[in-house]
Amino acid sequence: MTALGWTLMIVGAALLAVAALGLHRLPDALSRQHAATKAATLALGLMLAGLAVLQPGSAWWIRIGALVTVLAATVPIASHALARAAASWPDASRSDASTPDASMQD
Amino acid sequence: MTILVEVFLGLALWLVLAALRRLPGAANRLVAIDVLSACALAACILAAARTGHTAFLDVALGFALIAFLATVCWANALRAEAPGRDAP
Repeated sequence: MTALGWTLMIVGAALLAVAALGLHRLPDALSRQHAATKAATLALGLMLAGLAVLQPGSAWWIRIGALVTVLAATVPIASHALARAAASWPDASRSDASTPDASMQD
Repeated sequence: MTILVEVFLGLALWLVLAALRRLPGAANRLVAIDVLSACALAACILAAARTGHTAFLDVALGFALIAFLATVCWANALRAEAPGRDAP
């Protein structure tokens, strides 16, 4: 049971690293937001599931359930606001990080 | 073996901070800060798992609300500053 819990925690942390890698690999701000928020939400959910396996007890499960509910309610709203902000800037959303002159402009 | 959680979390933090330095524009940095707050939440969850105190989950709950409000406020401020307001 402990092995299952720590495996879920390790998979969640690795998925968070993949979400951070997506910031480097994807071309513009809209797709970076797309990768980062969804993968980070799944990573936090997996880590919370691993914590629920590791720590039995209603005092833990109430807090874990509240945290999952808050994350599932707020992360789509925040990512939608981020997507609208990224889409309203034509230059910032088109800036390709691989071209050298696009990284020079502010 | 469970040290891999810290290793992956440190790798994620390093990648986010490198993205924050490298990527141009305010929108990209806002996305990077959003992932950085997810890393902080993961650190809170990991601290709760390591120490066995439920207080770290209360900290994570408060930080999730603060990070949500900060992200929405900065995104709206960034959108209000946009040059072409008729964009979707």
